Amino acid sequence: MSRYDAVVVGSGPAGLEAALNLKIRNKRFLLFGSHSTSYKVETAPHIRNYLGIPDVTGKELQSRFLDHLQRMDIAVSAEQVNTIYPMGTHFAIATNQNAYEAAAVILCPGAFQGKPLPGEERLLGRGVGYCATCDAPLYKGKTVAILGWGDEAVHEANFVAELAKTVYYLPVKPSAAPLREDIRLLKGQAVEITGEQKAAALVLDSGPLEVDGVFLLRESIAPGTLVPGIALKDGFIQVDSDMRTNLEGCFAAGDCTGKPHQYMRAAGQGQTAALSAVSWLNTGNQQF
Amino acid sequence: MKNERLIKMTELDTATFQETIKSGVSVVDFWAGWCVPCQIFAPVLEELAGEMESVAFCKVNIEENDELARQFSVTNIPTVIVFKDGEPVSRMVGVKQKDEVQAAIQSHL
Repeated sequence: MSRYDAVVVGSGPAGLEAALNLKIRNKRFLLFGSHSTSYKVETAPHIRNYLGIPDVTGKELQSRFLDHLQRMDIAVSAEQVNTIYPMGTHFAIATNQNAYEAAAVILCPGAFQGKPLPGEERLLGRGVGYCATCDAPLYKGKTVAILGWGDEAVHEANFVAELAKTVYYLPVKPSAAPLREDIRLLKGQAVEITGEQKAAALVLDSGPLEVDGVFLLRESIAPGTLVPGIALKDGFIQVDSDMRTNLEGCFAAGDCTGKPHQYMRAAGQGQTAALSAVSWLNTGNQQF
Repeated sequence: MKNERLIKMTELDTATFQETIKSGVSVVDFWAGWCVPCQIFAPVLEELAGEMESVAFCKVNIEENDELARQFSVTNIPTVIVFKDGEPVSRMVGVKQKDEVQAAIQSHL
């Protein structure tokens, strides 16, 4: 497998600005994110503090971002990044279908929305997971509960239903996407995931539901889940003024590093992270 | 670039499993074809296999051997179980870095 110089995760202003700078500095990289860049930008009604572009709608700003990418011949891959593993000599990036290698990683996944459910972290890897497509075959003939946020979650739930015996779905964030008829819709709130050695039940406000596994399919990913071993502070990725994290070769930028959550800040951090990564790559110091 | 000698691990099934792990130290990697983290993790074990010659490094495809997966309560993959004289003595779930795996095996030698 060929190794990239860098992988950028996230296509909001931070990730895009990072990608631009990597391109200008002739680095081989992959940019993962959404083809529509950032949902947050797209839906912003009105922006007045983006220097050089007074008084613009989110949609117009998004359109300018897309135009800039196109002019620079930068593509966004919509493959979902599940986990990034620091391997000592490089990073291994796992998506649903593929594994990639890169010397450096720039994390721009945005701010994580969502507190973990009680029991979620304790039972992670023991019946609790974040990637239904990854683990679904393990639940062939078994009972699975899925908490879903949005459309993608519905698609994943439909896939799990092809393999599992029974699938329950709790739409935490509603979606218009069609759910398979044989999936049992749940109502109410999830309270806790219980179980001793492994997940045994999903407890709703209406009572416990016995299951073999629980998947939480959120739209954003908790940074600690995305990169095992990364240092956080108050739930944000901890970085120095060069956007370096505690992991050698791993940089972070944008809302994921903290507040204020502003586009110009994110872009600025994205650029700093890219230039730091370039500097690091150029010293040939990849001995972690 | 350091000199890496990667040794392919022996694929085990229900028939050959007991016989292989019953004596000495064995490391068994439970994996499946659709598991991307398993693909990422395999070279780490192959590298260790080249360095720790007294240890048997093996793998079990859980899609073809689900009885073995159930017998050892493998619910998430990759799962690596270290066996000593037929008994499971250590378990790691998920991709780990080489030095962590090496230390876990070393402690049973």
